Amino acid sequence: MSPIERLKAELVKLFADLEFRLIKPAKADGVWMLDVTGAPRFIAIAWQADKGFGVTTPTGDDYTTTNDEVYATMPAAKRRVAELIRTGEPTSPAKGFRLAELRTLCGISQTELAERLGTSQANVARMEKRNDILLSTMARTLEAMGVAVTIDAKLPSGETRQILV
Amino acid sequence: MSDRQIPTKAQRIAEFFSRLSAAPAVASADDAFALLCNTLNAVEDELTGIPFSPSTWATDGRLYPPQADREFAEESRPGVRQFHSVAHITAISPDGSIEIRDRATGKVFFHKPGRSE
Repeated sequence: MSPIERLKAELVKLFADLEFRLIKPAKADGVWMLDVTGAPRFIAIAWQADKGFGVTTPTGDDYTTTNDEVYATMPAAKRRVAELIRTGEPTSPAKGFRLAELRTLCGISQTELAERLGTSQANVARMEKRNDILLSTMARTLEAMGVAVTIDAKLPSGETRQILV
Repeated sequence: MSDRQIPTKAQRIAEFFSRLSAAPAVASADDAFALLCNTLNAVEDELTGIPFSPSTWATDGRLYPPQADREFAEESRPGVRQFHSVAHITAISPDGSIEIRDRATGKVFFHKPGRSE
């Protein structure tokens, strides 16, 4: 059973009155989708091997495949979807990201990121589990994802100065 | 790049639908898929100036045509190629027709018949 099939099974146990529609992709390595209807808002969930879960409450006014929020693991996705169902809140693209979630948002697997950094997938996995990381390592990793990095320091005077990393 | 403001995604989608409606109908799924991709890419090239870069699709703000990894099939619609995005399902039929429907409600809000329809 794939992680998204497990997610569906667990959500069905929690919310038996809602409708869950799981669609398998045509290609084995494609993106699965799980639609949740009957909750205060429609919830669209995407999952792809090595790229985690995308969770969005879409507004229907654009044609994008970019998810508002991403979660590296099934338990994290389950917690968030359950919260969205119970509260009726929309997803938020402004939510903060852990490194693994940002990688997922960028559509990059650990293996792909490791290749770009010239390291191993296991090293990337270890780095993503760390609670503390060198700024230079963080900057190099984000740049390998195609993300521009700046760190601004807000002085007591209200002025902002960029920190070089 | 000029400092003109980039139209919103909703405005670009409206332009995409307008051009897709106005284009001559086609008679095959391959032609319909090419028409859809070319039309959306032309809109994004002209209205956004954001370079076409599929490797940064998730974060660059540009709209991209349906991708192969989002294709799925349904037994109830044999031969129809379907692609999901966050809010929509795009369906392309063997006769060249294109349908875009709301993923949440199933409501069809764009339909372009194939040449023989």
